[in-house]
Amino acid sequence: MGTHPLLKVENVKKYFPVGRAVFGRSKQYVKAVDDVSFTIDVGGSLGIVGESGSGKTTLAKVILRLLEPTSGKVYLDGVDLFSLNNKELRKLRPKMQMIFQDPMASLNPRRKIMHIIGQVFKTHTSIGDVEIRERVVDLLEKVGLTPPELFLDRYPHELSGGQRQRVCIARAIALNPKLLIADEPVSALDVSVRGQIVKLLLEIYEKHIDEIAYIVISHDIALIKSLCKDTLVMYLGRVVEKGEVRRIIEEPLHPYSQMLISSIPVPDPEIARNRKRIPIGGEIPSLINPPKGCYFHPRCPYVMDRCREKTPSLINVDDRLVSCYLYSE
Amino acid sequence: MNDSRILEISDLKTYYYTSRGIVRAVDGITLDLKKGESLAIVGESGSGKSTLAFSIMRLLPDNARIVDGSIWLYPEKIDLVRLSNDEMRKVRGRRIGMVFQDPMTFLNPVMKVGDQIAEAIMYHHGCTQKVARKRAVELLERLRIPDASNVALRYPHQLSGGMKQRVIIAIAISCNPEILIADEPTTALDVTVQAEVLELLRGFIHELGMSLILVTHDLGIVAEICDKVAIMYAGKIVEIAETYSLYKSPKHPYTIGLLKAVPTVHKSSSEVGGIKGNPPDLVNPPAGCRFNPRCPYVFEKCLGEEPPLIRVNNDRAVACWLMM
Amino acid sequence: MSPLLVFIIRRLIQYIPMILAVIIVTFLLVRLAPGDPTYILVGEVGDESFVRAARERLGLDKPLYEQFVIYISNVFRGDLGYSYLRSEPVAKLIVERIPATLLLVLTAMFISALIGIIAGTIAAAKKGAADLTLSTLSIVGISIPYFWLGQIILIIFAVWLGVFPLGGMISVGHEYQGLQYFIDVIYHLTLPAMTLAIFNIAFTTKITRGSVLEALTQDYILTARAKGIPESRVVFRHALRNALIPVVTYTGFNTGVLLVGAILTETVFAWPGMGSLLYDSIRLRDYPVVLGIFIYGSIIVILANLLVDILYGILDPRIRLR
Ligand SMILES: Nc1ncnc2c1ncn2[C@@H]1O[C@H](COP(=O)(O)OP(=O)(O)OP(=O)(O)O)[C@@H](O)[C@H]1O
Ligand SMILES: Nc1ncnc2c1ncn2[C@@H]1O[C@H](COP(=O)(O)OP(=O)(O)OP(=O)(O)O)[C@@H](O)[C@H]1O
Ligand SMILES: [Mg+2]
Ligand SMILES: [Mg+2]
Repeated sequence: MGTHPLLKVENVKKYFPVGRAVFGRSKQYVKAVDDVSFTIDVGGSLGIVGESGSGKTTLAKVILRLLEPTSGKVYLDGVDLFSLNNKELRKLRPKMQMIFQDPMASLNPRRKIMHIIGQVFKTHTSIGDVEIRERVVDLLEKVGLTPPELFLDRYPHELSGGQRQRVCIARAIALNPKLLIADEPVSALDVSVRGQIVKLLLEIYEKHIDEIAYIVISHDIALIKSLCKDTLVMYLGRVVEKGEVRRIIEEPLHPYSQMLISSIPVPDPEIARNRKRIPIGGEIPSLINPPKGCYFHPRCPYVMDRCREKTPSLINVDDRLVSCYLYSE
Repeated sequence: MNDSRILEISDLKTYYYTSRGIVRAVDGITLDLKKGESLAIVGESGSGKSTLAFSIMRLLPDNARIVDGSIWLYPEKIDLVRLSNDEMRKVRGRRIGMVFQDPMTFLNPVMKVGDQIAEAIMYHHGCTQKVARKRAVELLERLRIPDASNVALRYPHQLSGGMKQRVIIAIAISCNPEILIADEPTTALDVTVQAEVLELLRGFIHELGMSLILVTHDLGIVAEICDKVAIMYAGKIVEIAETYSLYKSPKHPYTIGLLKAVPTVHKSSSEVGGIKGNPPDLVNPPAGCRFNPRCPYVFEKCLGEEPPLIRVNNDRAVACWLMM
Repeated sequence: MSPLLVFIIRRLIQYIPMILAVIIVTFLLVRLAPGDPTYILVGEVGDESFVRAARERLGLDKPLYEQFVIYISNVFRGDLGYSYLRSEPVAKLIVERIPATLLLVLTAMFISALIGIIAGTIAAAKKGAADLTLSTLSIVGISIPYFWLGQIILIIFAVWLGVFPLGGMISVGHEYQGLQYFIDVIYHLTLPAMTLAIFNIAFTTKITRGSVLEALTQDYILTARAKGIPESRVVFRHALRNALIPVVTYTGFNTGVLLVGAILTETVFAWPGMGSLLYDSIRLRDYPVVLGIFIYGSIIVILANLLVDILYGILDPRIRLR
């Protein structure tokens, strides 16, 4: 199979109405995702980093149509996802899976692990109970919950955070998805477990490299670096930079990326407390009334007149895409 | 020096009673905290950090019991372990606030987040709902939540993960508690917001003389804001030291391993080795030093006898036979 | 159009097949039940020709499926037919009786929601004696049959103590107006509403208790407790608010059961509602009335469920009405 775009995201927007809660209509909108486009090839992997609230989770949910988009198009393997009806969508669900930000909240607390994973086969395939059990055992083995028999009959709260996350991963890969989105897969886990989950995700990725595409969402660029080759950097619902993770860490171009890299805590009190940081602060950005022009301009140390007027478009600079006037011309 | 003390935990033991047996999640912990001091509690998943935090708040689940020890709150020197429920309630919120670990489940799903913050303010300061709501919005703004006045009117499911986490922080600091216990308060935050939230906490410590107990596994954050670090392993403290010297010369083999296991941008988490082996089962912890199955320097004495936490110099105590 | 209106219309359209199914099933059930209305009309010993004439007049001579088609097409024209016995349009008969039944059922529902939710919450929050007492009472309440309970209540309060009337909805022979009329109705309503409410109080208590207990184990309760607010506020503001969602669902499901209870209660207390009409009509094989009541009954149940769905949207902000 040659490389061709497995996932194509075109000008996706998602605006949430906010204001009157239940029945009324509101006039205000949160522009959670504002005109995002990208493609991923088969075997490709893409990270999404960005500030808290910059629309990462929303973008993922819209791509999988777990949320209805405001506008835009998403093609998975050539199929226009936004034009599918509920039934067609349901058929496609096993092919696109998400590992959610909150492992506990996405597992039914009253069901045993066997049921939680087995349910996937029950809904989407017609295989019998005995075979389902075999498949679940296989999956548990695959995600390192061994011996599987020890886990089949446990409830989610009887597992540690890392083990729960493994269950979520097992469920997500149960039906060989083509697109796998992991939203903050390790942010709730501690360092030692984190390494194991990262290894597991990489293993799965390598095993399925000629059929799968990966998106990893995290606010931790170090994690993205260990899982993905390329990344998007999002700010207030928009992409401000796209390129190879390694390069962005070495030499961030967009002022927001620079701020992001420079605020990573360093596990050394001397460096941590004496190093120079790009000052954070300034006005708090609003998603309801975003600033005119470049959304980052109120916090940007290099702000120029035109930044306040017109949104810079994404342009090619060296090996990546950046939306910043510092690099135009 | 002793008069600036605000909290003293002595030989605290908190056990969970389960069908598998007794889980000794906190097994004899002694600590003290001074006014305006920030103490980090660091350890692997399952080492009992949250249990310790819940014990101080007396918010343990039904199957848990504090079986021994005391938690003294100064200046009155009252023992929280023996306080009546009513009196304990007066301590919570106003004197000791807590930030809970999981931002996804610790907010009431059917109540507006602004009201969840305002509730505590209203109750403890006896102000009107309107005033309390205004204060709530101000707090959200200080925590750098965009569109704070609008966000205050939303329900938790309409917030991003990081925003929920900051709402939980806002609830905890809303009544300016003397002690703030923060259980992994920034796991869902990106580094820029995290830096801002830590800055805010630092501000509280300096301006209001708040004391902080920060539960975390992120040694990067600890380096940023904590004065003192306690390293927990399997329900016990294995090393406690002043931050600078702990990072410069860790003494306990477990601390050494932990510091090595920290991922940074330059060495990512798949590259770092971590500590080999798994944390012990707290129902049947290994005899002797609990770290002995994973310790590279293990010798005979470690298998037989449990090392006590011994003060090795002014600002450090270690529980390891190598030190004695 | 407002989203709420769109939602209601959408739901109502979805309910049409359900109502159709109800009509088919009840039509068959009623017709397959033993007993022939003609004999009741004409009398067991009536002349064969009389019987035949009566059957022709009522349309009972036609094959069952033909009768059904005629019935359905009439129903859709809003015509539920004529009562065999009372020679009045069925719709008119029923509509006259609806207010009395609604008054009884809604009063019982209100009382039971109020008492049941409070008792259930207290049982959940206060472990020990209070819980045991309330839980035992609720189990007893659930297992008592209406019919029997109604008779006992009637005997104690109306016959022995004589503090409440024996039955009916208003005192016969008085032409009360305004407030006096209102008080008179309440006076008559007390016993039947109490009878009907007892099962529901017990039921609501049980459901609320379980639901609040469950809510109290949730993480956000710890957040509330950590604020240092009084425990009563934790229970009523935080736990109960979340616990109400399942309680409302069960209450919605339970409307049907309550209507059945109303039939029995109305008969015991001679309450002039749909229930006593149904009881008489079944006894006398007055098919059109029986069918008509079933149709109205199912519409009431469906409306109750619609109301529950709307309440959902209010109680749980995560649910968006669609
Ligand atoms: N259902 C909703 N209704 C209204 N606003 C919403 C809703 N869901 C998300 N938002 C808003 O959309 C914005 C983006 O949220 P999203 O969850 O996508 O952020 P994120 O990048 O995943 O952040 P985090 O790293 O904190 O998880 C936030 O401002 C959030 O408040
Ligand atoms: N309700 C409970 N019942 C039984 N055992 C429990 C309960 N809660 C926690 N434990 C056990 O107690 C031990 C300590 O748990 P605790 O949550 O305090 O760990 P932690 O250090 O906070 O870990 P993490 O970093 O994963 O949050 C673990 O072995 C855990 O399995
Ligand atoms: Mg998110
Ligand atoms: Mg914990």
